[in-house]
Amino acid sequence: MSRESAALASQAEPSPYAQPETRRAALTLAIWVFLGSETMLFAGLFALYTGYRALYGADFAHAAAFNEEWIGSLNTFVLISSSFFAAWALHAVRAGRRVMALASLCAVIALGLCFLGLKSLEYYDHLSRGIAPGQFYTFTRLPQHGARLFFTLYYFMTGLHALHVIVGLSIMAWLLHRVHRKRTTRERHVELELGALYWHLVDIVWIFLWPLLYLIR
Amino acid sequence: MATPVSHPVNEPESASGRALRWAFLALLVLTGLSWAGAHAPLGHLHGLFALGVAAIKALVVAFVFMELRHAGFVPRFIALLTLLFIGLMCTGIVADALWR
Repeated sequence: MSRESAALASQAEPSPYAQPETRRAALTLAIWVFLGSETMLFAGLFALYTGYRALYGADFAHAAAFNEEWIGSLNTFVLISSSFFAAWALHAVRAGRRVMALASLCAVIALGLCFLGLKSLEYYDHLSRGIAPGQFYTFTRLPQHGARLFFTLYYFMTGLHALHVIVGLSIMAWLLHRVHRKRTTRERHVELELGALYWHLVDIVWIFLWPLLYLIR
Repeated sequence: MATPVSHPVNEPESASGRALRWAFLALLVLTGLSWAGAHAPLGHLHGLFALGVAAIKALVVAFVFMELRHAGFVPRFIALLTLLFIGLMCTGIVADALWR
């Protein structure tokens, strides 16, 4: 088929995604496939953790005791609250309550920043004691190989999660801008739905990281 | 640049404000339960209890906040497939570690 005939054919048959309902369905499918692939990414690390936990159970239990439980617990509360506000922002937009949506998105961003601040505090505390990943591990109170593996996994898992929080915060800031400029409205808000779904996935990942890294000893 | 999709067209039934508030409350209670369980004398059941509560919390987030309960077949299928894959992978790795 020549270029001209292909161009004519495309003019004759409009894109199947030109219709709002088909575009919406395609976007919904895309975000769920994306969320599935993101979950697989973390699943690899969870599986690695499970395997090493089976091999070095006692070392992992001792190492987990050196994580700051209050920081992990507070961060759980913070992320769950932020997830609620993300869902509330969508609820508010659908109800046409723009100011409430703006306030909810501001709460999501504030809580996300709080999460990162607390995580940074814990990283600083660990690193100052020599609890670092891999070959940089110099913590003398737990010299076992299993403890080194635990903290290497801890940095990988929480670091990857923190990266997702940063991406999520950028999306939330963009959505805040859109709602503020009245580009995301009661009539057109699919981007808020997709952004909120991503944020909820970040929350779900932390829901599992918290017991694995802080509670199970 | 593509413009955002107009709405509402075939939009799934959304979670009500009351459902969101109840889900949030349930998540807070479950978080407290996880914390309490970690300090209770459960012995070898610590891990099972903590992960069980985490699974319930994840389901609350998925079904209420992510509106999976109102979603169509495809999102539910993808979620189920992902869970099955994770279960298979973890089971295989634990089996390999234990019976090597």
